[in-house]
This record gives sequence, structure tokens and C-alpha cells, in this order.
Amino acid sequence: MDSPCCGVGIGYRFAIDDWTRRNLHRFDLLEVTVDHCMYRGKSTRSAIFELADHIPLTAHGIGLSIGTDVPLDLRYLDEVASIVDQLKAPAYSEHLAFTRVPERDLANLLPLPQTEAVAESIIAKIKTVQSRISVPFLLENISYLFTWPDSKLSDVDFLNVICGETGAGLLLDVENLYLNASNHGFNPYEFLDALPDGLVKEVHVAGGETVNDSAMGKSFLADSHAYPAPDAALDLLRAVLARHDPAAIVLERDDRLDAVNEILDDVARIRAVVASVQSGRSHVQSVDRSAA
Amino acid sequence: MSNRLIDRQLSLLEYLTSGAAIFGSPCVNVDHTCSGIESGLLDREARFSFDKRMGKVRAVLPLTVALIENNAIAVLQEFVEACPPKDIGQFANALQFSDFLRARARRAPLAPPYVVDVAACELALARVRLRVDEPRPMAESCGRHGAIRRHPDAVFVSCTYDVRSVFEVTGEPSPPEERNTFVAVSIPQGAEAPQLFEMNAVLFDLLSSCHMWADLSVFGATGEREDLVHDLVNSGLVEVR
Repeated sequence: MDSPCCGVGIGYRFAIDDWTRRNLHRFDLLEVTVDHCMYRGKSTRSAIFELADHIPLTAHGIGLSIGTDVPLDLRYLDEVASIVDQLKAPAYSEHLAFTRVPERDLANLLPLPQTEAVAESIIAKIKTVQSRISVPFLLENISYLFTWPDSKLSDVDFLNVICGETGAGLLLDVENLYLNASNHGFNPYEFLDALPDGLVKEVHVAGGETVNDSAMGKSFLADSHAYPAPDAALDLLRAVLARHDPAAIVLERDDRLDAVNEILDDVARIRAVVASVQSGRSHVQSVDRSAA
Repeated sequence: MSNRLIDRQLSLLEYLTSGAAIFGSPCVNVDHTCSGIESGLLDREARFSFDKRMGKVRAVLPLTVALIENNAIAVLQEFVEACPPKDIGQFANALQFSDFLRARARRAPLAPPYVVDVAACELALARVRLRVDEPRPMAESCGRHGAIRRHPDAVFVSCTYDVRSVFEVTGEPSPPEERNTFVAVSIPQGAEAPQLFEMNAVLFDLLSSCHMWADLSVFGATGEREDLVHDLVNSGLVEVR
């Protein structure tokens, strides 16, 4: 695939396959979840792979559970490698999280204790991933409700240590960053400031919702991927684009998929942010040239 | 208390998939390795994860889940304790729930009593939808009759209630009648979605076991079998060559 500069697209979802195919011209790329290719039948897989002839695809995973403290499932990884090749994807991304342990699969992303020791374990696993997957590996920041009491590193320090040691890029989910900052009370722009220039290779944008938890007696933001992206997440995207050149910006939507106009509106809002940042850059470059 | 990360992760997932965390059930030990994490947040995470899991079950078994709604909490609490989540996929979670309902119904009555049959038929519909994704060699046309076998994509379900009315999309469904009903699920020729067919017991037994190519004569005398085989082929229940 030709790597588009800030290509804007959506996460491919089988439930809106027909609509997606009719609207390919509206997107620069699609993100395919490799695990969906594993669970569907062969003809559906073939249909997804066939999309590679029509639009650039990038590969995303949800089933690696890189944070589970057991050796990586190499059979799973090899299947991912095969799918990534068939998608002709320029990168493969996964979450810095764990979802399962032997005999139990929560199928939900959980945070890790953010310590040097856990970082070392993840670094070793990423090197294994990189040795078996033919394209660059990207790590994604997750949203989380709880933290481990023995965590010593901040979110951004934990990511920086791991990405710095492995050369893995960052798939920055700006919605997750926004949710975590709101739910746990930190400044998301300080997080962004602490990232090395150019680390962000892809971006996820999504829209969650406010959940009032009567049992907890408080409300919090949940990453439901069901609603339009909040303005605050797009503001973060704008800040990201000022210092990074992600190849892909992907809108994630997993619920209320019939609200396709909301999807298109969000894509348009993302494109507007990209355009405004790029036009700002052009303006700065022309001013620089004039000054020279 | 072990400080190994895997032990702490095992304890955490054991708690997050427990009735204590999801429903606030009493009498369940909260492992001390979870201490230090606010229990309210863990319980919220557990409920969120369970809602996601039941969303997967509901995607495959919508009628089943709707039918047990009145006594859902009790049934779901038993499900949670008996069947920890083991797979990320929709079908795997639905299969686990259907198997649980079947086992549960053997121990004590379930309401409504036909819900197990509805689950079996919904699962069969999903199984057919998934199987037809697998490309298979096309059967030769009816013009060269000689051998027959059940269509590899068809699924056969033996029910104790006639639950077909539950699947009717128009009108108020009539309550299912208690009678042994033999249901085949397949995609008829020219159709896009799988359908339910009732079969008589003899044909059901014959087709259920007819995985290998068999001589057409198993379907009786030439005159009557032509129409039968034609109907079965059109219904997507058999292949002939």
C-alpha cells in the first residue's frame, strides 16, 4: 500500500460491509481487525482480503494479549502474520494491555502494572512480534477504569520506555487519552508533550459516553465506540498532528452502526482538522521562505 | 500471597468474571491480590465486560435471551458461575450459553420450557450462516442422479417443542406446542438467509446420518423419489450427483 500522509478512514466492520463498499471513495483507507478475519469463514476472509485491491488497508489486533505474563501464542502470531501479508498492510497494531489468562478470556482490555519489570517483559515480547511480522509493529494506548497500586511509571513514561527500546511506533487513541485524562484527572496535553516527535504512526478517534454508575455513586466516561467523537478528542488530534505525521487516522465505531451519517460526519470533522493543520504548516513554510 | 504477575492476573480475572463482581453476589472470596485496587472500579469493569459478553450472546441468540428476560438474573448468575468466558468470539460465547441452558434444563425446569429448543434453532441458524462462508465444491446438477448425501451446510435439530412460530417475523407468535419436532436448517437455493424446515422423523433420521454419498435408492421407488429429491435439493438439504 502507498502510505498516505494522514490518510483518513474507518475501522472495517462486517455489519456494514455493503455500506462500506458503496462508500469506499469517501475513505483513504480501512483498518481491518485481524481477529475478525480469523473468526469468519473463508469466503468472508477472501472478501476482506479482496478489499486490498481497492483501498489501502491497515491491520489491527485485539487478541494478542501481549501483557499476559505467559509466553506469546506463536501460532496466533503466525496467523496474524499471514493475514497482515494478505491485507498488504503497512503496519500491525495491538494494545498495551492484557485480555486473558489461561482458561479465561475476558475479551476486554485491562491495564498492566506500569513498572520497569513489566516494561522489560513487554519489550522482549515485542521483539518476538517484530521477528515474526513483516511490517512495523505499533502499540496502542488503552482506556482503563482502574490502575495497579504498584505502578511506578506514568502512562506516557511506560509507553516511551517500551517504544524507545523496541522501535515500535505508537497508535495513539486520542479518545482513550481524553477518557483517561478525564476519569483519572491528568492533563492530556502533558502526555502529548512527553512523546518524542514522530512517535505517533497511526491515530484512533472514537466517541464514548458518560456512564452514571449508581453503585459507585459517580459518573465516568466509557469508551463505547458508539457516538460521535467529542470535540475534546479532535482538539487532541490537532495537537498530535502538530508534532507527528501519522500515516493513518482511523475512526472506530462498534455500536449504533446504522447511524452511518454520524460516521460520515466524524470523518468530515477529522478531515477538517487535518486540513487546518496542513494549511497552518503551509502558511508557516511560506512565511519561513519569505523570511529567508 | 504470590507476587508473580501471572498469579495476580489469574486472581484478577477470576474476580472480574465472578458473580460477586458482576452481580454483587455474596459468599465469594475476593482474592487479596486484588486488594489495593478500588473494588467499585473492579466491579464496574466486571459488569462492563459481562455486558459485552452478553452482547455477543445476544447477537447470535436474540430470541433466547429475550425469552429468559423475566428470570434472567437468576439464570445469568448461574451461567457466570458455571461458565467462565473462554473465547473472544460471538459464536463461541453463544454456544457456551446454549450448552449451559441445555445442561441447566436437565437439572431444573427453565421458563419458558421451550427456550432450549429456541436456542438450539438459533444456534443452528448461526452455524449455517457461518458454514456457508466456507467455499465448497459445487454439487453436480440434478440431471445426473445417482448418489445423494445431506448438504454439508445443513444442520439438523431435534426439538421437544415446535418452536417455529417463535421465529415468525409477522404477527403475534402462537405459543409453541409440545411435540417432538424435527427441524432442518439450510439455505434454500436462491435464498440469502437460512430457513427452518420441519421434517418427518424417518427423513430426519435418514438425512441426519447421510454424511457420505449414498445410492439414490435409499429414498424409495423411482416415481416418488424424483419429487422428494427435487424438493430437498431446492431446500438446500441434500446434494446429488
